[in-house]
Amino acid sequence: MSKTTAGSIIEVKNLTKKYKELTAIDNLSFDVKKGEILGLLGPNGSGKSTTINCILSLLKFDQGEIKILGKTMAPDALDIKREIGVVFQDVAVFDELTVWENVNYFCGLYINDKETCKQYTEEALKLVGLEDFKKFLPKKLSGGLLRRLNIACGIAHKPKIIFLDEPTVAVDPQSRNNILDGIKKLRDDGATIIYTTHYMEEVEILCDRIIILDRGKIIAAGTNDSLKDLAKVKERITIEAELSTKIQAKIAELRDVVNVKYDGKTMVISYKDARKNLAELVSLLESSRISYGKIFSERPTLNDVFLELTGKELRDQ
Amino acid sequence: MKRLLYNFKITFKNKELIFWAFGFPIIMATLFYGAFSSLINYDGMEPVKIAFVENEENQLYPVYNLVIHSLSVEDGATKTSDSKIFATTYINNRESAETSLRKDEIDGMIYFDNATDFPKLMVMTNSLNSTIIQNVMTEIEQSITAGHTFEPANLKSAGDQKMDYIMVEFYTLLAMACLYGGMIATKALDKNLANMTSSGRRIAVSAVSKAKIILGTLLTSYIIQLIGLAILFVYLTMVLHLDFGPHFPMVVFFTMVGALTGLALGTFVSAVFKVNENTKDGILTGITMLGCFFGGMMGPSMKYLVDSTIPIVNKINPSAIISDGFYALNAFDPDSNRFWLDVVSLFIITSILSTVSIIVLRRQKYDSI
Ligand SMILES: Nc1ncnc2c1ncn2[C@@H]1O[C@H](COP(=O)(O)OP(=O)(O)OP(=O)(O)O)[C@@H](O)[C@H]1O
Ligand SMILES: [Mg+2]
Repeated sequence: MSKTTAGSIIEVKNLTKKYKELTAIDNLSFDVKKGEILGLLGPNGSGKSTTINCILSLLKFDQGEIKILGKTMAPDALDIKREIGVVFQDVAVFDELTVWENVNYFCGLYINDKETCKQYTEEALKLVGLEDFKKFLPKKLSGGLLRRLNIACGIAHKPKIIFLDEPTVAVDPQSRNNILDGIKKLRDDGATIIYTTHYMEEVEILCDRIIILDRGKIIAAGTNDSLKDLAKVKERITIEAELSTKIQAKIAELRDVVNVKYDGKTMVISYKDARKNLAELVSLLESSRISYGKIFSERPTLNDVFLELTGKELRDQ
Repeated sequence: MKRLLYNFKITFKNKELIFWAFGFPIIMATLFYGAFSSLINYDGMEPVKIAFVENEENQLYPVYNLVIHSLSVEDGATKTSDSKIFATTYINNRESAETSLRKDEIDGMIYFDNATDFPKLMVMTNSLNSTIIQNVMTEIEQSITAGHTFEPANLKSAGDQKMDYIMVEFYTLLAMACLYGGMIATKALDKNLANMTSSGRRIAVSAVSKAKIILGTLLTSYIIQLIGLAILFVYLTMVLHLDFGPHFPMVVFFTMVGALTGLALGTFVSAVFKVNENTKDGILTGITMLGCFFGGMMGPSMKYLVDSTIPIVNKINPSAIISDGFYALNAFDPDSNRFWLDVVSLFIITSILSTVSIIVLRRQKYDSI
């Protein structure tokens, strides 16, 4: 059973964690591969932070095994910890220290050489775009900038493995883009990244592989595209037009259509396959001489996947 | 090393903490000094008024009659001199003495209950003067029990006695400062513990071992505590011109022991109580203040009451032990058993608090954070 998956940086096997009665993590197993950005996507309370805290040996767990870089993770496994950078969900900085000092302090927990530490501090501040705020106290930073500082503190020591727990919560769009760009840069520099969020667009643009969590269980895992293939509805076309009952029936009979909804103004048509649907619909409308307003086609989102698998919505925005 | 410097900076920038740990004892010292300054700058003071109820039947009466007489000023004198500290009225009936006491015409009355016992003392208020009478009566009784003749010349002058009384207040103040300083450790440790703060979580996942982090934190906290106490001492001796007696190096040593107890208390509060920051402050302040109160900060009568009714309280009350140690150092000498008993007691308390803290702090993983 204990076969080590080649290229796995982190191996989580049968992890179960209970808070008294509540099973927060339920027999979770997954691997993180070298150099990838793995997205842990799940709604509030699905167990993302708990998973990370278990992997980091902060939390006791009831069952399971955690290996990082091939070794069993433990609180005193300092050689493993040296390779890890963590950005926790809550901002964790010292209010008494300036932006620069904060990054330098946390970097100094990993890097003993003073000059290297200084240099890394500068580089981290540059990465998150806080060069102009070095002397600021955290109190004086906006929410977005504070989040960026939080990230800089976690990654300044150039770790090989980075955990980011919802780093973009309550962040303005500019900071969010800056943060996402920074994370891509870290991956391009060779880091392996575990990224949790409940924003599906973030995992869509950022993650190489996605695990969807719900109530401490993996409900789906794979790449963005492979997950979307899970959705029964592969395409959805929305059209604004006045449609007679006759034409409505004709549309419902088109190839691959699984569902049609019409409110007298807008029709939403769901297809189980995405092959030339728009073209066929348009030619039908034109041959029936029906004029239409807006018409557009959508591919399924991760939210659709989540909705189909769990019957509820991923909270988004 | 760099980490320790950052620890210093983090603590010194916490204005509230610095105020409570450094500023507050200085303010209290100033208030105490204000309250006692009229007494401190004495220059022959008013004698303590007592009534001595005559009772020829008691076998000790003649001795006491002589002693009290030798401790009393001439009729009508308004200033004490050396051991003459009482203005004594001799009365042959107890009722009228009691009436005078009630009317506040005298500070205390000495009377004999029967034919054999030592005389009794009755005072109305727990004032400085009643404490002086109490002290004198105790000393007389002790020398008679020990079979010595009582030497009035050995008795401290009224001024010195007042000074002793006042210094006890400052000793409890020092005790308070020692224990209060533990707050520095509480705050600093909380910032480093994963189950307390998010910064602590970040530190817990770092490449530095927990033991190193905690030892570093405690070391900086202790140094900062000592700096605060040094400032307080400078203020007490240079600005308020208080005298801590001839054994100043021992006073410094004892202060360091007291501060260590404070450090252990602060560590204990941080490690053991999983409550928010304000509640922790409350717990530490509560323990310190209650201890100081029982130890006599608001006047020695409380200490007297506690010592005589539930003596165990002040035997384990670090505030009382610390102030008693300073007292012993000043009143006796550094070799006195009483002083070393206090030192040992503090070490025992410190060890107990530390042991419990270590057991709790050894935990590396938490059930929930
Ligand atoms: N300290 C705790 N004590 C008891 N229950 C907890 C504790 N921490 C988390 N939980 C519960 O465990 C479950 C998982 O929580 P967790 O914080 O891991 O979720 P999450 O996916 O990180 O959510 P969020 O998006 O809100 O951060 C939730 O039901 C939560 O209420
Ligand atoms: Mg979370």
